[in-house]
Amino acid sequence: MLPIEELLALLLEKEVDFVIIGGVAGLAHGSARTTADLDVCYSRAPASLETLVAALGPLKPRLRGAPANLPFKWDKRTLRAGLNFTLDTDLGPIDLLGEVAGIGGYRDALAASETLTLFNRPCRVLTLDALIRSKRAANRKRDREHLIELEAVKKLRSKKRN
Amino acid sequence: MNKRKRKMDAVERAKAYGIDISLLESSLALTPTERLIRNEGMLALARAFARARAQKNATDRGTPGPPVGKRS
Repeated sequence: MLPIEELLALLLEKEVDFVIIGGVAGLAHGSARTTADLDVCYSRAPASLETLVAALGPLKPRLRGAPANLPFKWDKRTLRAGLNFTLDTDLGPIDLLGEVAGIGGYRDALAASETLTLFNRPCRVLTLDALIRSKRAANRKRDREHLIELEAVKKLRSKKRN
Repeated sequence: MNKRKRKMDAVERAKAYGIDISLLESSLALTPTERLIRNEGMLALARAFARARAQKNATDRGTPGPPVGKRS
């Protein structure tokens, strides 16, 4: 099993409330940009945080790019105290976002998502239109570059349908 | 003289930006899962290159200089 497949399987099996966003969502919709991390928007409801902590715990989540001596404890309290976390795990990098630019929190992301089958499992993925909206709102250089590509993907998909 | 510039569509804009449209077309011919598998393949290749580069750097650092008496 590929690491991303394993990571998705774990999140789904443990019933974590999440929506796939970012590069993997772009790939799922047809982008050709390589991405190394899984970005998800997660639910900050207390029960959901508990599920997320329990699901990722065995993968030893640690802060990515932070000094090695910076204390980090993977628990509900830490998640409650922060919002967005860029993590490394034993199955690869994962970014947890409590809010997505141009979209909002988990409920908004869920409403702006669709079910796509990834590795034979139904996953909630931000729609292409919502992804475009989020890239436009984030407006960093890399988002603007990705935006140009995603808009082309949208156009090509609509041409294909017609 | 007063020619209006035609607005580029999204695909033309991407092409002008330097995006390889044929890559997008090839990606769109795949299923979402196939796209993720292809991404993982590219990542594995990038990791292999990085490992090879690190190995080469280590070898280069460990290479003794030119033999005494010889100048390069």
